[in-house]
Amino acid sequence: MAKSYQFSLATPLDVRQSLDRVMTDAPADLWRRYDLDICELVLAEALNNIVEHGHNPHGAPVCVTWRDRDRLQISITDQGYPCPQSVIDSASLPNPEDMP
Amino acid sequence: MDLSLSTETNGLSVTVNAARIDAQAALKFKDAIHDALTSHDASRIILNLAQVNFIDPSGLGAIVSIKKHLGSNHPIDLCALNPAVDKVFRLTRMDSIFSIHPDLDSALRVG
Repeated sequence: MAKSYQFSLATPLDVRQSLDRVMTDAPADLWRRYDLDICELVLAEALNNIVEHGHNPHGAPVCVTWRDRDRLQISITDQGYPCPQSVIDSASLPNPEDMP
Repeated sequence: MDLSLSTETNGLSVTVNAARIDAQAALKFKDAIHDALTSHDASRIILNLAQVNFIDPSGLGAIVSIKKHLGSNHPIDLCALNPAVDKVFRLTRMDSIFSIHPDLDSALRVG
């Protein structure tokens, strides 16, 4: 089973409505077998990041696809520019010991 | 964002009258809490999340920033978390920095 969506995402409200669409559409069987609360949380953050940092050209669609095989796969594709390598090279992660 | 406030013997209970604290609502939520706290002098806040069924990382960030802003002299406790909201607090280990109560009555019995 698989399903694909195309959304136009420009604001946090667009993200909210898109999430609502995907989660409302998800069949009961999917809710039974996977932790979709966590999926919604991850999907929300990914879509919010596209709106906030993705530099997606205005009106360009964001594609969300889920596939249910032996596991649930969710892929998200936007049309934004790739992150410059220099940003990745100079990035650092917080020390886990300093976190709650 | 719509909040209901009620002054109790051991704290100010703040009920969030919204289903989602997400990126769309986070800023309005923070502003509404700050407004509520300037008009009510409370030594302890109990945030009642019974009506909230989704909190995203922006919403979680808003709640953590309110806690930081209030400092340790004005603790903020949480109560009545829906299963999906409860998961967010456990997954991020924020359950270790907030006191979480099953419902408002039990939150009022402590502290």
